[in-house]
Amino acid sequence: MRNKCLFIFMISLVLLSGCMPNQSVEEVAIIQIAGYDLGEDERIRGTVSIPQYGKSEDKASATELYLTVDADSVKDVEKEIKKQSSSPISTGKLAVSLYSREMAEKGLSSIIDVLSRDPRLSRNMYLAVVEGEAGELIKSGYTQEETTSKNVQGLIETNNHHNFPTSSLHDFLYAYYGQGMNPFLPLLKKQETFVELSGIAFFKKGKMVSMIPDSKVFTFKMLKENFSAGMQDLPFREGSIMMDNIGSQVNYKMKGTMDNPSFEINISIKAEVNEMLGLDVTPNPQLANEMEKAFVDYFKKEANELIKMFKEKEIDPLGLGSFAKTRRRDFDLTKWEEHYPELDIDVKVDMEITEYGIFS
Amino acid sequence: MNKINNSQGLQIPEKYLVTPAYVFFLVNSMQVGVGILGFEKYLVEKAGFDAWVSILIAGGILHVVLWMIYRLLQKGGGDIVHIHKLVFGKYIGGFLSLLFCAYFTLLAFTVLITFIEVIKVWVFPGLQSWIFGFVLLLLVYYLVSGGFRVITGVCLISVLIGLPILLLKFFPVQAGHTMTIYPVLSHDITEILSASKQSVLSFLGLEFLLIYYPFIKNPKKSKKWAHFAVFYTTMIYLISLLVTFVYYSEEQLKQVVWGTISAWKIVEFPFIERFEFVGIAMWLYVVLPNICLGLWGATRIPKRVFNIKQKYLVIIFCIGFYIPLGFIEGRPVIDAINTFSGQAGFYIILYIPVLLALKIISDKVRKRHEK
Repeated sequence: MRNKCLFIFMISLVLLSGCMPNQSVEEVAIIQIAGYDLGEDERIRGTVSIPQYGKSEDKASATELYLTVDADSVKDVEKEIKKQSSSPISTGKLAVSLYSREMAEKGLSSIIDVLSRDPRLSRNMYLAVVEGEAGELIKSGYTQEETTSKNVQGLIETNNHHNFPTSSLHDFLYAYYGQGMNPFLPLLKKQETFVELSGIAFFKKGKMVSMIPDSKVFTFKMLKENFSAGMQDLPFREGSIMMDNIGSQVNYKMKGTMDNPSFEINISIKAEVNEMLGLDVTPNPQLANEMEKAFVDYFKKEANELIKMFKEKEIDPLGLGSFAKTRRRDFDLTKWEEHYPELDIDVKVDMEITEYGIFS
Repeated sequence: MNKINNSQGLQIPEKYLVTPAYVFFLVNSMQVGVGILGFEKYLVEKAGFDAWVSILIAGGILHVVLWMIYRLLQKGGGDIVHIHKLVFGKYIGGFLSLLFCAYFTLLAFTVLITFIEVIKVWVFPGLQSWIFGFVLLLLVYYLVSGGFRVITGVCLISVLIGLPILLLKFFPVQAGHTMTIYPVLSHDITEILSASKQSVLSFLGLEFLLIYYPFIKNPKKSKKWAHFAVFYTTMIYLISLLVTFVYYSEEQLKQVVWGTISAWKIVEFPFIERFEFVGIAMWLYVVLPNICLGLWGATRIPKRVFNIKQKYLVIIFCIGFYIPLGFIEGRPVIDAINTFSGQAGFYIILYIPVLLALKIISDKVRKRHEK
């Protein structure tokens, strides 16, 4: 008898767990992209897109529903959207979060707090700053095959493997909370029929203070991390050449004491030249040397310009401060920040062009 | 008669004993529990990125404590109750043993509520503690009433299940910045030692040897396994700490409540987007022996002191765990209980050398009297 009771109890434990309230994917509004603009009276205008699954007969087409609300804070946006949606909202799959440039310049601190606090958000999601209205960018569907979120997510992800430095939510938070470094985000721009990555926005304490156009992004990535992709073109003699990076390595070295620090940034690049436009010569060792020299000069000039800009704006997206902190015992943040604008940073570039393609 | 178990004063039938190698699993699974999910924050608050030295120091201290425990048990024979009786007499000794019982109870209870909190924050915000607690305590009661050998089996399973989770450390390292771990010691010795104290708190668990020692067959041979276990635990903690150093920046880590679970968030497989849900579910198996062995130790002491049947004690303790479950809620309360049980554990660790000294003195006095 006792065993029977126990048996029934155990069986019901297993079976009754199926009686939990559940929601099927079709009935949940899954937000994958959200954009925030400045609204009227210090409020936030949030726009989200909700993909509609299983509604239309045509499987290839992606339909989306766009909702725009005015709210007081980020979490309030979620609340307001719930008021407009017929099905329960789920934010767990949020893949891209966009902010208008106006808003980024005013400061994103309140938003960053939500991003780091909410356990439901993925650390692999992307943040980006939009030139113009973030809501506009979300609302204009670009292709029939993809939703806007897939489009933008794919755009940032592919480019992170090429010219743009990696920038997920985790990377942003790492630099935002860390000492002696400042975060950056990709900059998006809406064109007539497509979205493009137009540069990088630099932040100081959650406020966007500066940006660089996409032509300088390669140099920034080269200074920031090791990578083996990306392309850079350069006018050379009467034409132009295109370089294909096959392995770039960067190394920081700190010299001197904390009172008088100096930095050395060593970059070594291996590259192929795949386009020689308007050049009427066959490749030879001497030409290679000339090309290498042209690139080295170009990168040095660009890098020094970037560093000069960082010093003027007192931002440290390269994380030199955090590097100094791990190398010197007597690191002092306020002292470091005082020294930073006059810091002596020497950029050395070493370049090797190995191949010229399959056609001479 | 029983030559295998040479501890005097307490004879456990051979069918209840476990082989010496299992001590590895008993010690290690008790040391790794909910603490490892969020210990990084407390260490970094004290000693910054130099806290890895503290872990090594704490590991060294624990080896010494372990040596003392073995010295105490080998000379004294039996368990902590027996030693207390020999050193302090029936009444004071009994009282001190009951303090140990209270400490073991507290430890098991802390693990229980902390794990329920983790589930609430990370997976099911609306989870009813009293329903989940009921089911979990039912399982714990079932395991504990199965006896010491069953608990040893649970410990073995927990160590084996914990192993693949260690492999996942690869993902945060991949996403992190290895440049930041560079051995520059910028904190002074007091800061590093205070972080060591903090890490001793998450290493607690080997003092359970004091109560299950008579259950080990051929206990002398188990010594090396216990030392292996402490070494292994130290390495697990060291690796976890270094991985979070790579993954987070220093100031960021100070604000992350559960460093290890947050680092699981970066793990992404094509078939599963949020690994932390799987990780937390698997962690139940790591936490389970903590509760079981804690409860077993807590009920074993009154059994030895008052000679009550352990079965009834287990039921009473389970009910005692269950009633406050619904009332304890919120980070501040649970954090306070964690800190309190950590402090208690620290004093227990401090108490062991004192007890050893007293034991040696009382042995000498007794010998002189016998002469």
